Amino acid sequence: MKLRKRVLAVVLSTAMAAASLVGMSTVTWAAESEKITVGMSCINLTDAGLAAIKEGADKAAEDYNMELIWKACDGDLDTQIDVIRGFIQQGVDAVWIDSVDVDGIISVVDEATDAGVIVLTAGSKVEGKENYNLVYPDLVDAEFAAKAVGEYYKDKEGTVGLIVGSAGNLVSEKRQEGFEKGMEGYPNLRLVTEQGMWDATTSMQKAEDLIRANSDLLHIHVIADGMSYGVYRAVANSGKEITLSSNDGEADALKHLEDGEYLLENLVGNGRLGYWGMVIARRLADGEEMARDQYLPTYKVPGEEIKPIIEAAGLAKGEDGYEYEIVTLEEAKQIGSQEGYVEEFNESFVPTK
Amino acid sequence: MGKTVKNALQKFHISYNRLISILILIILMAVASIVNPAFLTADNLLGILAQNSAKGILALGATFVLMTGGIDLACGNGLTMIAVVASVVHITTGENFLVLLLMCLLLGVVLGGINGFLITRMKLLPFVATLAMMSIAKGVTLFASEGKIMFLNHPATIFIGSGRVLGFLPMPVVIFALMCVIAATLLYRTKMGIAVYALGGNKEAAEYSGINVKKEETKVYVFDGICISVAALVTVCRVGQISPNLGEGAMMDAIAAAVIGGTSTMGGKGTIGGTIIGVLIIGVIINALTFLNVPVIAQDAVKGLIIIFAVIFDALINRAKKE
Repeated sequence: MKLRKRVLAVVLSTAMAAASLVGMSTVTWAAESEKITVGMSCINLTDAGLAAIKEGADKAAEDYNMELIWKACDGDLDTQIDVIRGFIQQGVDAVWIDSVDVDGIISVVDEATDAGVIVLTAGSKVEGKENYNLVYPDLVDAEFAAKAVGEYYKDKEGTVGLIVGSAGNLVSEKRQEGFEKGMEGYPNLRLVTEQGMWDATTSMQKAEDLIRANSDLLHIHVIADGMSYGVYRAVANSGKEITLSSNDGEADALKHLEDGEYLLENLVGNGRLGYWGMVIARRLADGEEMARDQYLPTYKVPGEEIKPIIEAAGLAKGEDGYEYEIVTLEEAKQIGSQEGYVEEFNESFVPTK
Repeated sequence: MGKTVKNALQKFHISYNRLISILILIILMAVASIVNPAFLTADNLLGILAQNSAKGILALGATFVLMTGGIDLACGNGLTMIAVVASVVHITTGENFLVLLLMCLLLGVVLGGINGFLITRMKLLPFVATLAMMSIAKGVTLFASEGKIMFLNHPATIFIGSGRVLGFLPMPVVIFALMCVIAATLLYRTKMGIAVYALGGNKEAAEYSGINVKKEETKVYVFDGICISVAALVTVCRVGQISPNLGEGAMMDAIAAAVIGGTSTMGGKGTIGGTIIGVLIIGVIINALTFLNVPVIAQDAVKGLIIIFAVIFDALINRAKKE
């Protein structure tokens, strides 16, 4: 009995010491590194996805001794350029840019890097001289979703709806391109695309129109969770059996997946995205060398119904040897949570080299 | 023949302008139903009405404001602000529907009252005052929502958003119809209506004729605020969630609907019937683009072209009529 107690005490104290060391490691890093300032230039601050990115980035700033200055440009390139020039004049250490226009932004990106500022361009690749691109595989992820839907409805003929963000938006266009490419292998399914304008109300309206215009509508894929909730409401109101899939892997969407209302989710995790970006900024400021293109791993989260179909079709292996990471719902919840991404991007995290 | 048509139009209180709007609407519907027969079904037509009810209510307020020679650039962001703030209060106080309803109305009256005060008492141009309010509304929305998405699940909100009266009539359509009756009563049966036309025609003359210009103009902006609040309630109940970009683009559609319906941006001219037709034209265009399977990249341009065509067609007929 005594021995058992002693063993338990040793195990507990070891666990506590390990836990405090893990906790301390972040604190130590934050305390040892000099405080850095990062200018955050985003398209707008009204998007729910961006609010989640901000939450993740703010958490990283707290963990890694950083100060973030947030500025929105309301989708205007000239304003964004002025904002970035303002950051350079302020003497920030790094700039994080959610670009309005990947080509139009290049000159000011180069101005910033010439001035010694670390530049991180998020979401889409910006071909500047020395900036770092924070990218995630939108194209192949959307292609996977389309193939999964295609396999699910392999033996049926009908229409598949695709709700994109807005024409001209790079993220939206990449996700649209990927989905269209994936659907090419399924001639039994006709694809119709609509713009949800990143807004749940418009997306709901577009979904209602799609449902009424296409009596053979089988499925709607939405390229962002924020829009998908409006689409879900439209489908539920219609009383029809139309399946849904979405992208982002936000907690509310995972709940729909759990309840069997969504077929499939792609987990990027906006909070995770924000946290990861700031960890990269911190490490670059500390002098770590890494590749100019940094890739955020994403995960496929299939619902119970579609999981065996994906496995049977061997969709986990994409073209050119690309391997998709497929995770369970429980794993996805953990990865997407704040606790999960703080752990994922701790000191042992290895950026793309 | 011409006289017979004129007499018939007069009998039904239909102006030439209104007739043209109706014709445009019929042409659009005919084209859409030829290409896709599913367009001309009761389900789809009621769906169009339900989808555009909130925009229609917003357009009623915009009609009043435009008729006085003013403009409300804050109506879209005002809708979002009211929807978000009222919903946040509703959710945090344990989801009491009465709280949501009262908060919406209160915020609408306050928003309209401030606009009216700035324009009539502080002598700010409507364009400047409402532009500033637009920015304030945006800020308040972000502050209240913290950029997050929240869901509304109260049975009353679900009923208002997707319930049906008599088993077929969507609740948003019933609310829109009710607001149309209120707006028409105010415009055609009260002193306020006379003042609205007079203010838009000639403000000085209206003042000399004994109309309390400041009071009446403030009342117009308060009514506009109430329309915004009802539109916010319908929007938030229909979609069942709030986010900071809820109802984006609503302002443009509301003003466009009023103008297409014959409301003059210079003031003094406009009707409730015209605005209803304007709302239907906008709604039918958006719906028809899906039924006609117009590619995404072309949709905005096609929508804009149809609106320009409708307005030019209207202007040409008016010119021909004058000549």
